[in-house]
Amino acid sequence: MIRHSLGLTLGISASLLPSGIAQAEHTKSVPVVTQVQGAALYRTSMTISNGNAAVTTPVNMRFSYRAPDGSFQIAQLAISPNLGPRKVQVFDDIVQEFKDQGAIRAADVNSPLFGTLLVTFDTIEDDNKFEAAAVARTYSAAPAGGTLGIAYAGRCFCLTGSQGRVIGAMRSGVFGNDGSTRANLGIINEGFGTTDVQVSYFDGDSGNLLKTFALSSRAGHVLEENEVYQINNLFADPAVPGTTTKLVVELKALTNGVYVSGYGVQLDNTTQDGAFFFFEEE
Amino acid sequence: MRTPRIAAAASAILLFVPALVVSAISQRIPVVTQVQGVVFYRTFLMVGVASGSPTVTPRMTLTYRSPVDGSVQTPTLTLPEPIAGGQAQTFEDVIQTFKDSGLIRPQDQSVGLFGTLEVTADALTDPSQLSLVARTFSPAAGGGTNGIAYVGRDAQTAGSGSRIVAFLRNGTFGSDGTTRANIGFVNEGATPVDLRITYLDATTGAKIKDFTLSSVVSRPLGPGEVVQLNNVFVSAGVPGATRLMSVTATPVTAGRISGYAVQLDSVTSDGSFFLMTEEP
Repeated sequence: MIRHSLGLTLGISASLLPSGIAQAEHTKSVPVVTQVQGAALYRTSMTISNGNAAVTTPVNMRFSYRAPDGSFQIAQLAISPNLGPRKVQVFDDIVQEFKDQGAIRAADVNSPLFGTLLVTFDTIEDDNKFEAAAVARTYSAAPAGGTLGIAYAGRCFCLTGSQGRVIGAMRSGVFGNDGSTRANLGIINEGFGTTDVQVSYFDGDSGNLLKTFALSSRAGHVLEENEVYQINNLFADPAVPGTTTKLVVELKALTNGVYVSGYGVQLDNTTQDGAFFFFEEE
Repeated sequence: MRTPRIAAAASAILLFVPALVVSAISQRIPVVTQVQGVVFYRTFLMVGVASGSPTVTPRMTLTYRSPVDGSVQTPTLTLPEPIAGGQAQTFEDVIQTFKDSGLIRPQDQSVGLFGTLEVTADALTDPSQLSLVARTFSPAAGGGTNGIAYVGRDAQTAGSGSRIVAFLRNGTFGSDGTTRANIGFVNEGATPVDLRITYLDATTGAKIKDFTLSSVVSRPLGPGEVVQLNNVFVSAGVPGATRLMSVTATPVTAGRISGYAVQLDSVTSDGSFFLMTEEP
């Protein structure tokens, strides 16, 4: 695989690595983990597993988030003990785990947080990426008991995102028995370096371009490496006519060489239950 | 998608070999349904085409095993309207669309159906030009719906010829609620295939059981067919105290398979869907 994030973090340029040599670690990119009050209190559980039959692996997590004061923060936490062969660790609230372990700076400990999570398995190579898994479930309490949630499996950082277009289709309103829905859009900078992102909305009925904008005009900043920004209820955008029920959304990094990914969440307006999917990547 | 160096080189070569350019894109949705389970489940489908792409009129092939006589059925429906670049079409209940089009044989019209859906669009050249999003949903007790979403995957490359893996859980995990797990297996290849499935206790690493899928469903998986095993923690041989389990599946004969898991909240029956990891 061509590059690796932690190598860059440690100041080791990927270009220094001899080509053809497999990297002796593997990283899963989880697009969003959170602990935040929205329409409900949302939290994210993580199920992190080592499917190798013989190897025990250290597992390191990196939580990247934009703090309430606007600064970009990176918190790191190692799973303890190391993850043995065919073993699993479950965290019912991964952001709280970072807080409880002192990995979140004091200024943010009592704040709602929203960010990405990189999970690195130190002794599993990218070539064996299927042996490692990091499955997130972002959930909220249901009014009558139990929970509602969305799950998404972390993807190999080596393959995630596109330098070209990232495309998804989203919808809003009532679609028969499928209920009344609204849509949230997530945009992630998958590295390397900072970038702004061009976001385009096309009317899904006519194909007409409704709006193109730079994400920084909405977020107030460009996206840092491994930063996620979510636009909630994108059909409420003033540029989207109220009669619009379907959108094709396209994303593209505005800095050459930077990878971007995207996701959609369709929420039921009554239950607030979400349905998560990744965008297609060129 | 990020491209490994060797694949990038191969792609560059392909640019100079026009005869090898792909002229159709097919994506498969691992499961579409219209069935009564704990609640009544149906599948919504959205088909989108990227802006700048040619106008296409996709065709959809539903592959299901009839609950009436066990035969595999593969009706194909051409979308009623073409889709231009930047446009999308939706189907509130895609199985019902097939039924309403008269493409489901009479004996299967009034029974629950469960299968895969392959959508093919001629004239597209890259999988990213076609966006399929399915949502399998059910009515919630207090109104509204609960659902799970998943996208279509490139029918030529999805799955593994050697091994797929998932880790599942059962019981209560703090605020994340009480959960049970379903798993599904899809034959992504063109010939029938049986699967060897292994359950391991993911707390101890000890093997729980090892079996072939055909020993459960009495047949191999047909091309494009899906089979789902519900509430796997209550299956025979799994100790009642098991909370974490590793599930591995390998094709018994040459073939390409994929799999998925659904963790359901035991109170709301809301599902959370994710794909099994695939050995390259």
